[in-house]
Amino acid sequence: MLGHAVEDSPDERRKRLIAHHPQPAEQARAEALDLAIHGLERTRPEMSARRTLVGWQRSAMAVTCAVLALGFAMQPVLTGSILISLLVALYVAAMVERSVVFARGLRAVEFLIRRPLPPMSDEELPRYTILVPAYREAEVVGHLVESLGALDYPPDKLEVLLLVEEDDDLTISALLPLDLPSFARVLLVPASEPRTKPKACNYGLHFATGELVTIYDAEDRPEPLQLRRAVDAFRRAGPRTVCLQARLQYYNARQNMLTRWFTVDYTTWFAIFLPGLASFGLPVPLGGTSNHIRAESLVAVGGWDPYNVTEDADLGIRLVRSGLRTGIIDSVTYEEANSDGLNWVRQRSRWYKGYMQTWLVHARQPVRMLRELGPHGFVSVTLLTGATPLLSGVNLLSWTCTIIFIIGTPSSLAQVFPAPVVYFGTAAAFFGNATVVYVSLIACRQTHQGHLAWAALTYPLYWVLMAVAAVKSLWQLVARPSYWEKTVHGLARAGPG
Amino acid sequence: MTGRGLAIDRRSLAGFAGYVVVVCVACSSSIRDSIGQSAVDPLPAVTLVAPLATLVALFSWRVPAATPRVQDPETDIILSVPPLLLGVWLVYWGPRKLGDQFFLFRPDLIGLFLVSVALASLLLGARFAAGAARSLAACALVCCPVVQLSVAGIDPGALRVAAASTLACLPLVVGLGRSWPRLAVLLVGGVAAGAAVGALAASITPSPSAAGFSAATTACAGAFFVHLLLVPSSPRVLVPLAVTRLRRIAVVAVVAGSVGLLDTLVPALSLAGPARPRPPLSPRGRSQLEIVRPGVAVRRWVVAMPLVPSDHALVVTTTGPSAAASLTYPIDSLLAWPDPVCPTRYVVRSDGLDVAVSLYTSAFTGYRWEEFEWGWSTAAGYQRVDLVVSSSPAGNGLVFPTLHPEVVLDALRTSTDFVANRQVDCGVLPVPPRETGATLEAFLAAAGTR
Repeated sequence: MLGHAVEDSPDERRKRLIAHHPQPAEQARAEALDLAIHGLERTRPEMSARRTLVGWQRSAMAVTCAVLALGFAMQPVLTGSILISLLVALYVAAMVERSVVFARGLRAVEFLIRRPLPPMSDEELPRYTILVPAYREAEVVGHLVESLGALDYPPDKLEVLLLVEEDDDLTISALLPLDLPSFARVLLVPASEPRTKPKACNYGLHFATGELVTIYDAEDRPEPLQLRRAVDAFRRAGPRTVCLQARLQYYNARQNMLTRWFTVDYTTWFAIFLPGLASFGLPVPLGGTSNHIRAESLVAVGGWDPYNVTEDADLGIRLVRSGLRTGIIDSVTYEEANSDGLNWVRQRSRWYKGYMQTWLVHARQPVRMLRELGPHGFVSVTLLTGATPLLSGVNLLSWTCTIIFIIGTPSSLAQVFPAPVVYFGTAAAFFGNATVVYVSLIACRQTHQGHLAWAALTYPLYWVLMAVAAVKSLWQLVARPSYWEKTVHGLARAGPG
Repeated sequence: MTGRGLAIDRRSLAGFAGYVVVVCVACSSSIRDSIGQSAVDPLPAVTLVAPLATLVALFSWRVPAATPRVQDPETDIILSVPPLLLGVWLVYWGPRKLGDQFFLFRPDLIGLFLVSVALASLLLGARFAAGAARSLAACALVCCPVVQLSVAGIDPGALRVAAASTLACLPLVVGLGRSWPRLAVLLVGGVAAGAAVGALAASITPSPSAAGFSAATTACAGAFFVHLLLVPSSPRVLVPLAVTRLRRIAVVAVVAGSVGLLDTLVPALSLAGPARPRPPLSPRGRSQLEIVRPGVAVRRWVVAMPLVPSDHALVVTTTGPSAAASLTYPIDSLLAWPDPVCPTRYVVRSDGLDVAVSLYTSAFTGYRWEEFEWGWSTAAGYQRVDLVVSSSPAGNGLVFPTLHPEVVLDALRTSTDFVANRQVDCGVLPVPPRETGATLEAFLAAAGTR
């Protein structure tokens, strides 16, 4: 019994795993870890989110807060009116921008209609590396073998790197009994801070041998032909297109109302909105997985930012700022929709926090950002990454004001809403909400998911959760900017299969 | 269960007990009012059974097996702030907005629900708060007099008893419906059985209402005991309480204390009664209608008095043991005006009384009515008085509003009036007409209540 206990200690399990999956030499590991954590900070310090705010941003924020405080103390009605007018203007701008991109996305989708994959011999296929960061993913890591086995790609040209934190005993234990394919190996990431997915991916990238690199999560179920479709798309696209985003979709959409709303959200985003952005040549905030990138270009732009909690969105913008482009491929990766409210709030708050981090990083040099992205790109990035979390958070306040206005009609509230703002805001609220619901319905229809129509019609209820996540993200941006809120997977009633 | 599991359970139990105490402190005034009214509410005993059902539902709540142990202290706090602010605002705003109709709608019960959810989120986590919200909301709804009035009008009595029993158990059924489906079925069965016994009792006893409600209450209590006996036989965790939440106890104490203080002020804010007791108004002249329900008497009569602009007036008195009991009865909606009219409202102060005056004018017939409403403490209890003075175009007879004792319809009508009144009031007069005070003083003098 004692012997068994000793044999089953975390240290023993790690040793057994290393026996099956030999690790690089210690020096190479240390070098890779150093580059994973500090690489971007050293080469392009202005692009690193290690510091949330730079000097002038901190001063600007302090001045803004002081002016607001002074305004509310001396002229509360006027200050409130100005603030509300600005927020309404921001709402309207975001609504117009989204509508334009969505309309473009609808047309772009027509070009994405699945083309037959041209025949490609195995010899002409490039070497492909799949990075699978897995931290505390014991529940879903078992599905990985099945998903990897289903991929239609020559094994000798495929490399799968499972990136596991070396002190993550749960995942190591779950991996031990698995019979991984020959092209898959486990890389143990040395335990270090920040404990983020991009750090693990940078570590894996250091040892990757593929010409093309992609990321899948442990619970992902990519379409078997996805890698071949990406190779074909890269060949057809110009040399500036170095990144391709596949569409993410959920396999447990029908589990509960939250998964239905989440699926509507994802469908609108990946099936219509991102193709619209790509079609305009605007920066595409990449999804967390299934983005296929030329390894050489990825290394050239500095890899992922280990301090940014939406490193994917940041990378998408950085690529465009480097003169490169992102395309969209019509291939689906199925993921698990978060079915638990609290878990969802944690995940979404991380995304919102990352969006704000990303905007703050790129807006450090606003003139350069404007020059590199162009006016439309500048506005798009600002509204998508900077304004989205802000407006989601302000939603709580505006709903409360609306309820108080309807029930109590307090005169003080009426004073800070000048008539033009009331009419403009009411129109924006009505048309904006109706537009989002309508757009969601179209996206469901376009992707043949008619069963989500009810979820699309009740979509505004989902925004309450978004508002909670936005408030949480604002708080965390100040308190714990690089803290990675771990999303618990494996909650789907029926796992991937 | 391991020792660690037991320890967690003990902490959970302590946390849960603390939560109940904190809620009781924060909402003591509202709870006390509800219990005090339980003998005279439209459905006696429901107001007592419903909180018990809520307590059992909360006690028996557990995390569904498939749910991850995801806890998030930041989300707990974020989710507790809006309901807390909204609840406090309702407690503060309710009496001012509703005036003497406060006890009909009891917005403080909705405030109690919101504050309870906020405290649950702070003390026991957002997941528990979300699970408890259904029971707490059902309890607030069930205890609301306007809802009970709707059920109280159901005839025959047996059906009313069945409806009341189901209503009383609603917090338990909705609270456990998903996590304990078999028990929920058992409870509904128990309630149905109780209702049947109640119906039988109602048909054979001289006091059908009391007997029916007693039987229903006993049946509900029996269902609770069955539930309590069954629950310990299965592995459970009361509430996944994190130790860190105990650190919030200081914040929770301040919040609960502030809400409790505000809640205590509710009756004082909502009632405008005279400082000294008066002799009650008694029917004079021709008494036209009398409605008596448990603890409350409603009487309507027309009196001949030397009033301006008319020499006749309609008087409706609602007398009960307490202000809450009298004001619960929806007398406003019982008065049906001959024409659809839009009142102008103002308040006059006369002889220590704050009197709400509504001036109704019919654009079609030229009729004009002045309605005076006030409440006072009398030797017979609390009495609410509605005095209507009518004037008509020359040559026409007097027309008074009629009194319809249709409780269900009236409750609904009152609800819609409440919603609509914000829109249909023609205006508020800051300075009342001079003759108003004279009319009122003449009436009080003639009635011998000065």
